[in-house]
Amino acid sequence: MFAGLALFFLLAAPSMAAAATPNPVATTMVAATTSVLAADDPILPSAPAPFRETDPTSVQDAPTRTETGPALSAWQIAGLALLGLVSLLLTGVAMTTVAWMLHAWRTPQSLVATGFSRVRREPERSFSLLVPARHEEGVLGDTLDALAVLDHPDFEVIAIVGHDDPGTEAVARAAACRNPGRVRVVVDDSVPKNNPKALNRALEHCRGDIVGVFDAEDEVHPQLLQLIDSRFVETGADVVQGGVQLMNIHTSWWALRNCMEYYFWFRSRLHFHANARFIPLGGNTVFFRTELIRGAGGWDPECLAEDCEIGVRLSTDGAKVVVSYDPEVATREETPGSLMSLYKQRTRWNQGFLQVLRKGEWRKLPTRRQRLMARYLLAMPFLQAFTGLMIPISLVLILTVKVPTAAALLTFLPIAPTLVGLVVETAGLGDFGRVYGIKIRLRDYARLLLGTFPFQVFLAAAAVRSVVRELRGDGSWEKTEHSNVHRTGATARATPRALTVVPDLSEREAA
Amino acid sequence: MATSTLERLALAALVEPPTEPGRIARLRSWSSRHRASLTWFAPVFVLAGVVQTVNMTGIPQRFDDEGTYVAQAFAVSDLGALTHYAYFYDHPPLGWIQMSAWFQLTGALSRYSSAVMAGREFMVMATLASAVLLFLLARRLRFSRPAAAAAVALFALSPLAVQFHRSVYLDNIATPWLLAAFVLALAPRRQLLAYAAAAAAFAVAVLSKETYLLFLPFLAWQLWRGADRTTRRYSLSVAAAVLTLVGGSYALLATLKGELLPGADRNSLWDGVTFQLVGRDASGSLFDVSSLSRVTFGQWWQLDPVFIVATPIAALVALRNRRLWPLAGALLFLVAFMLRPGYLPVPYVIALLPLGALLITGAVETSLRAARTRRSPLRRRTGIAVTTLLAVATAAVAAPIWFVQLRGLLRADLDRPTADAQAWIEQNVPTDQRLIVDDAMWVDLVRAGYDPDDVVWYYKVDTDPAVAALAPNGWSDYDYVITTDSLRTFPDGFPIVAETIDNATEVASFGTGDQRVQVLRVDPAGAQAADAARAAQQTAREAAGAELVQNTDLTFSSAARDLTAGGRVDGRALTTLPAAAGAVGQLTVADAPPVAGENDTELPRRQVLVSAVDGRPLAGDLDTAAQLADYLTSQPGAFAPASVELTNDGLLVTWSLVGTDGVLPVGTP
Repeated sequence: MFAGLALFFLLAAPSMAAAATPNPVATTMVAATTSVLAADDPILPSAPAPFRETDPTSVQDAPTRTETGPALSAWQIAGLALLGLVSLLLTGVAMTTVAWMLHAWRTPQSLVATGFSRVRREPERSFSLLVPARHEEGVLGDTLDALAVLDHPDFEVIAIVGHDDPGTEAVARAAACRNPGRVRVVVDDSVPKNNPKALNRALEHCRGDIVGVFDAEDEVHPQLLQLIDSRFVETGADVVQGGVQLMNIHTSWWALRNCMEYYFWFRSRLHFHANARFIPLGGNTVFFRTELIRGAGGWDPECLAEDCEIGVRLSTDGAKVVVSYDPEVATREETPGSLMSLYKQRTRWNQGFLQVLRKGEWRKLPTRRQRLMARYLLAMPFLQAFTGLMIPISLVLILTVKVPTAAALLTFLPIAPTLVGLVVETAGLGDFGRVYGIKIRLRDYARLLLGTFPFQVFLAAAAVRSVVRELRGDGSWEKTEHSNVHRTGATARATPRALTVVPDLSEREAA
Repeated sequence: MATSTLERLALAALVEPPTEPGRIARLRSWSSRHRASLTWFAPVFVLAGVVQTVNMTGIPQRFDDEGTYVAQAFAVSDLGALTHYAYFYDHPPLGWIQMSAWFQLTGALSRYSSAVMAGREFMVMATLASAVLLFLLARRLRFSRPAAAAAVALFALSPLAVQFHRSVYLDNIATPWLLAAFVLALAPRRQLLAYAAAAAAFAVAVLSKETYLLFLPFLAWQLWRGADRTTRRYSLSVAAAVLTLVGGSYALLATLKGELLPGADRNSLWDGVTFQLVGRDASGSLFDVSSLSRVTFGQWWQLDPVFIVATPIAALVALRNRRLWPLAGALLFLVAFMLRPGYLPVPYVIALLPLGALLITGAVETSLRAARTRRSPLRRRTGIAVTTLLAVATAAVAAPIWFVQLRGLLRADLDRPTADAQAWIEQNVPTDQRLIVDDAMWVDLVRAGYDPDDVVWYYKVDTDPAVAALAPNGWSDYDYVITTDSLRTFPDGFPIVAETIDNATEVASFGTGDQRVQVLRVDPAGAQAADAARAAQQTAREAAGAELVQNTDLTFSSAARDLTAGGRVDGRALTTLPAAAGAVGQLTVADAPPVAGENDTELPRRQVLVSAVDGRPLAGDLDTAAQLADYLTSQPGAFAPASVELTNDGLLVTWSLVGTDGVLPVGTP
């Protein structure tokens, strides 16, 4: 719509140079011989005569007739054309970003469809839950104990620890002793170590029908497995991705932004990708049919974004991926402990996306549309970073360089979807606070808005760094540390709610 | 007239190559699914198109505002500017930008002899679009198909609607966008995208005509109540953002042009807005009989009093139907707003037309439905009977008024004076002259070859310093003034325009009363000197005429003799005819007919009809006629006639309007 408006303004542009073109009317000098006809119907209303819609009697005291600007040189025209092109490109990127952000809310029905089903059914599948842990002594014990008591009749928890990490191994073994028959420990002796290798090692030992992945610091809802189980049965899915939510919005400005990224990603955007049958999966609360993932050869041990990679690979093979989100049962996590480690994490993901793009599995996607989508999606972190940077640059350019009004308006075009995105994020923050029971203060909104541009710069920096690393062939794994913030203070999940969740869901169904 | 959308769809189905069975099948299934709606809607739609189009060039007489909007559209396409004079933010430009797009895409300007009529063609398109959207809106408000079709019929056929929908008003361009906004706001699946689109459509409506902003609270209400609790937060935020952004593009435009805030030597958005809100002269209270508001209201009332009375009553009745609350609320608010003593624009009524049409039919249907649900058969029957009776009675009162008014709207040619004046000017006023005109003629004269700087909208003569700069000597820098009712009755008057008129003589006049269009020629030496000069010329013509009727080479009919001897015949004729007779033979002068519209008391007759040479009628003697014509046209300078035309009655010789001065020796008075 906005684009349409700008185009209207642009219509004026091509003719800017054209002078008033007199229309030669043949003037045969023959006097008019027709007599003036009198109005033949006296009952008629007269023309509504003195209509003064345009009548300032005093307002006008300024020059007349807009002067047409000086003629543009070929270079200037080329420059303007480039500016317009970049503008339209940025607008396209910003508009898709907003559209994907809003995917879940596009109709009330679609929002309902993103959730778990409301029908309670008996558990039918068995689960193996993998928890890779590296230098996670602080959080792993609690996590394993919590996982061991999930509400499901048939599951096992497999903690994967490195052979060079005795501290974590000791914690894992202690948890296994506390929860015999539920928790097992697998030691990964691969060198060098990374997440996909650890997962592949554990995959050999899985006994369940379904393999699920969690992180060492995850806080998992007790009812989650039952809901996932139903989801597999109802939909016949090969893969089910559950929701993951970063919770510590009050920690810092970038933590707030990071939390909102997760919120929109799992709440909304992943559903779009699932519908498009091309999905980069998340790193945890993701469940696969064991047979399927074994058949696919497990995770790619060389990829820095193995979660994304496996999603792309399985999508390409035609696996059915279902995403289900309910705020109540989303797995709760925390942001990385420092901006630097978020930076490293983001670099790793971006580099992982690049690797997936290079690996080219997506080329096997059946339709051209899907392939195009894949290319676009995998390049998205870079496009987004570019957009974020270009917008202020073009703003400065416009306000300092003299360009024709129409061109200037066009340059403002990408700002429109960007601002819509900001409004949506603001609405999303309020929504986030409501569904997670967190009080959102005015300063949180201020942080969100003021953090927009710095965060864009940050994302752009991570994008650039990932490109540099990939070009250098540096594929080393930079691990993200966690400090267990989400388990302390206000954001901790109230334990009794675990018991109320299913009645809760059925209540909603009744409503 | 372009074919209707429905017809085009049908045509498209016919001409579609058989290789695309999918599209045809889809069209078939679409039309079979909507057959019932089409059956009701199509006839009303066609009728609406016919009534709006037939005689749209005849009535109303084109007026100043129409010309202004058309000129602004023309400026967008042909002058590379938003307006034909400096844009001063009186209205947002999107309305005429749309019109300009229509002109450019369809070449409408070259389809009509007058640009205003091309603008009216765009009004037809806008009204037909509104008709479609109104039907959709009615259906989304759960109107039955007959009721929805009736709403469209009221909207398109009320004489009030026909007159105002034909006129080139920005409001007519805004209406379909407003209706689209409500249709989208009522999207049955409540899509977020529909909400965003509703906001965008509404923003376009407001950017087409700013008064439509009055609908904002009611659209917001509709959006709020229509939204689902679970998605409302997002759909409303997005809608608000889109509305603000699209609307904000206007402020952005002003900023980029450096015209956001007031400053020396520039127009600004700020000035424009304050002018519209507080600067305009109030039109007085509607309850004051002598107020301008009352005059405006009187124009509406004359066209369709029944519609005007029925609408607010219907709005109150329609409040029984919760679905109609936002629209009924909007109507009542707009009516209340109209009663305030401030400025009341004449086209204000346009925004009320679709609402009134919806609410009148809505009220009838709501009452009937309410009556049908009554338990007691007696009350049920009474309810139905009373409603039907009221509706029929209203229709009975309206019918004769509609008949008379519609007959006029379909038949009368009120624009004839303007069209004739226009043609006369283009034929007789050289293109190097400077004219003060009503905007209704501006584009046509510019397209006819006059320099845009030389065709001056009367309005700018006194108010625009740049225009004044082009005429440093004031009134004497202008050559002609073309006056219309709009110019003659302008309340505050303009000193320079008034002076110019005082120092000008009517040379031609077309039509009578309010419809009259006068062409005045400025007397450069001033009115007094001109009067004296005219008297002297009259004397000189009388002398020359008296001499001429004695000439034996010339035979006069009695009428021609009286005119000639009375000094009523142009000096160039008096001089040329005896010479021609000497060269070709004895001439019979049958008449000196007036040029249609020309001032017969102030100007001498500049046409002469020569019926025979040496007693042989020229109509049957082509050689002699050609010989005479050749002789005449080979005369030097001003003596050569502008045209020589062979008619059934003889050779009609016409000299130009200018050039008569100085051909006869003038004695000192």
